Amino acid sequence: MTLDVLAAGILSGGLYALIGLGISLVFGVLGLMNLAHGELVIAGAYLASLLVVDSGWDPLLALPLAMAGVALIAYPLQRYLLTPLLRGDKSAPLVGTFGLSLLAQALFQGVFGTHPKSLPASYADSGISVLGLRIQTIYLIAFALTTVLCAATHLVLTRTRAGSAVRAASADPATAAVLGINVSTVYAMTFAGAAALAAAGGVLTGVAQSFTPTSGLPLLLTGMAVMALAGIGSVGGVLLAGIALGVLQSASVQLFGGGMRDVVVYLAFFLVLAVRPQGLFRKAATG
Amino acid sequence: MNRLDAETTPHAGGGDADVSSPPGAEPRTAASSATLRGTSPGAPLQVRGLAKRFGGVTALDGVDLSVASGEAVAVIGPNGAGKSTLLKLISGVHRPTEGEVWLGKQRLDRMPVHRITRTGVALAHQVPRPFHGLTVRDNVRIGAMAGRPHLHSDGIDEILAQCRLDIKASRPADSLRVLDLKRLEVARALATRPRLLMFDEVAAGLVGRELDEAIDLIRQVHAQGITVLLVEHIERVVRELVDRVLVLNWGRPMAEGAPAEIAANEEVRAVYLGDGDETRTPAARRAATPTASDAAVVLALESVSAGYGDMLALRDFSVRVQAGQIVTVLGANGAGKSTLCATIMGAVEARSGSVHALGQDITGMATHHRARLGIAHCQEGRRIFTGLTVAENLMLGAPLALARDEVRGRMERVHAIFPVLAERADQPAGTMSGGQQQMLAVGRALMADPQVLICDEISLGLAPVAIDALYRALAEINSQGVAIVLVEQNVKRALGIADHAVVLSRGRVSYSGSPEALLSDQALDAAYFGTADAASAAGSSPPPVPSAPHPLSASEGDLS
Repeated sequence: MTLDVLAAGILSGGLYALIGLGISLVFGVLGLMNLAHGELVIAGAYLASLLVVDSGWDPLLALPLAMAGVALIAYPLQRYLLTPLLRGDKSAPLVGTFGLSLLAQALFQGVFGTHPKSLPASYADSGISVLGLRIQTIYLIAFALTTVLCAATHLVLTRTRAGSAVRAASADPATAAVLGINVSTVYAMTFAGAAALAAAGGVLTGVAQSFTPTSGLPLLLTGMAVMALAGIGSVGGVLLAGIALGVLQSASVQLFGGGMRDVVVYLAFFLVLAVRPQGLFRKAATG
Repeated sequence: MNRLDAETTPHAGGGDADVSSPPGAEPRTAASSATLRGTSPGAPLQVRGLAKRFGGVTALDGVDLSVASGEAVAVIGPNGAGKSTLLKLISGVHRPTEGEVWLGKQRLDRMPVHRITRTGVALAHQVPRPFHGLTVRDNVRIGAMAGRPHLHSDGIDEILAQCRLDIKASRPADSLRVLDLKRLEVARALATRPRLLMFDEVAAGLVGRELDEAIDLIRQVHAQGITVLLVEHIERVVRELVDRVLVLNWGRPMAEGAPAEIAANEEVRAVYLGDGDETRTPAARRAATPTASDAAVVLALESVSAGYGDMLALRDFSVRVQAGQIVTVLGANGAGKSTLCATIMGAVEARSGSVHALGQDITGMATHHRARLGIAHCQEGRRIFTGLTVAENLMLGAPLALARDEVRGRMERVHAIFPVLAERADQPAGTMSGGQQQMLAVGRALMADPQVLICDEISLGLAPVAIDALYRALAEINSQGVAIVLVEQNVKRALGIADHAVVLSRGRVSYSGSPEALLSDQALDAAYFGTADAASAAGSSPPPVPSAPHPLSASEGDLS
């Protein structure tokens, strides 16, 4: 395996980590497997495309707005739809998020059409040389941004009182409520935060590749693989798992060709889970 | 004891089981009844230089203990002293770092757990762990699979009868109340044909007559000749059951001797038993209590009923708590005490009646709003966030919007009451001992600066010294004007500190009045289990009430 392949794997792994982080956050805190997470990612890309394609903004400028926009949509969805579902049958929220996923796909199709879109930027196809390695600029940007967002998430969760409220609601919602924490709000904020992370991932994906209304599913599966590899409750673990997955993909394409990419990835995924069901990087405590 | 005699006599004269057994089954049956009757069952336990370290933490160090065949020995000590670790090392749940464990001529500390069980070591857990979804009988039968040779079904019947579970044998284990669950735990342990039976705080959470029955059951086990090792916090259990006590402190043996010697040992009193003067603290507190009858009512429940599904756990309950008052709510397990707490906090919905607090109707209010209003709830089982640090746990008790300075100020006040929480501020809460965790739970509740503090079973499973410290803290908290609702199984302590006492019996109030009048055992028993006076006060006719609902009385009736 050449260093090029390794570098490409590490860098694309950053994006996987960003997508996995949102899924892991929602699952860890709310106990909800959000099957619409891929659509949140794509929603970020489409929202950004309104500014980038139609008004000529730079995608990186549109990124914070896309994050805020998707978070604003996600908050009421969780507060008024998914949280009530969480109180009922265990399967209801799962089916609910799957329904949201289908609904979002239909909406994307109706509004934006089925043609592949992408977010044009000067750094989309350009490359730079780092230590003699040829690297696509967008992946470098994506990796840097992912690291920053992961670090920010980690700091919010571990260093702020709001973060400990999130961890408390995650560990024992009944006790958190007794302490005066509004668990429904914590859930909605967490979901909105995860949606913002998803949107950031969506904008970066949109610059690196093209996307269609149905691009969410493979992203969801990748994110789930990252979450399972990382184990719940460690932001650093998610970043490492994303990178591991990226390197594995990149190496398998190099060795076996593009057709075997997912086969190798999921084989590795099953193997890891068989040996370490708690995930590769799971720590004892949350955060 | 009555029961024991009745149980053993028929067998001594050749029980039904022996008579009806086919000849081929003879040796097995003989062995079984020998185990149950107490001719040969016990085995001596030898523990030599036992040490256990978890990572850098030394849980147990240099423990020597020898228990003769058929002897009963208790291990006591403060929370975190290593008592449970000792039992787990003997039963093979943990491996010792150093030292040896011998049962008779067999060395246990290198055997896998299932072989240790087959060798004849059984452990009855503090928190009963039945196999859910199986009947009581099936639970015991699974225990019997470990016995060598297997106990056959007559033996299982005998054990069920001995533990007074015979009439409940075909019920699902999940449906049992606490005392019966504890009996099942003992029955399952007995079914493995133990030569050494260890009890890990089996009496915790039991009161009054339930406690008597638990003591009786252990006494029967001992009378069969089985070697008994007890870990227990309840002094009475130790005093009545064993001849020798080992005191552990910080994982090391501290004293060993007869219960009376230990009770008189100054050092043990200092670290474990405490001063035992339960009347001193309340006396100091009384002065600070506003006694005016027109003091503001901070919490009032009017004919509240609440429950789960089809079951009403609390019926027509009313109480008024005034500012600065301590009201204790007592009652046997399953009497509705925790449901009451949950109803006050809104975790369980009131089916009828109303709940008012601090001038507002809170009957339909969400839990977190009630908390912000000034009602703090220290839940049963501590419920601290074990993965968060001590300081983080405390901060969660304060409202998120509160300014940092104010949070720090409140934290200092909590630290003044519980200095250990300042020492351990950055440590994960789960690494503290039980007593310290309970202090954290109370401290966390105080961070909300409440006007009403609800304490649900805060002394459960704690060493007497730790309870002393908690009750001193409660008196101090109360002297600052906080009204306290004290739900307790530790009757003497609660009555010692309270201004008003309420006893719940099967979801209804069976006593409401001055705590002093409950101090006699008779009055308490009456209020708890509805015998004599209290039964007529509750409006039932006395004779059927004491015998019908209670299994003890029922089985006594069978025997006589």
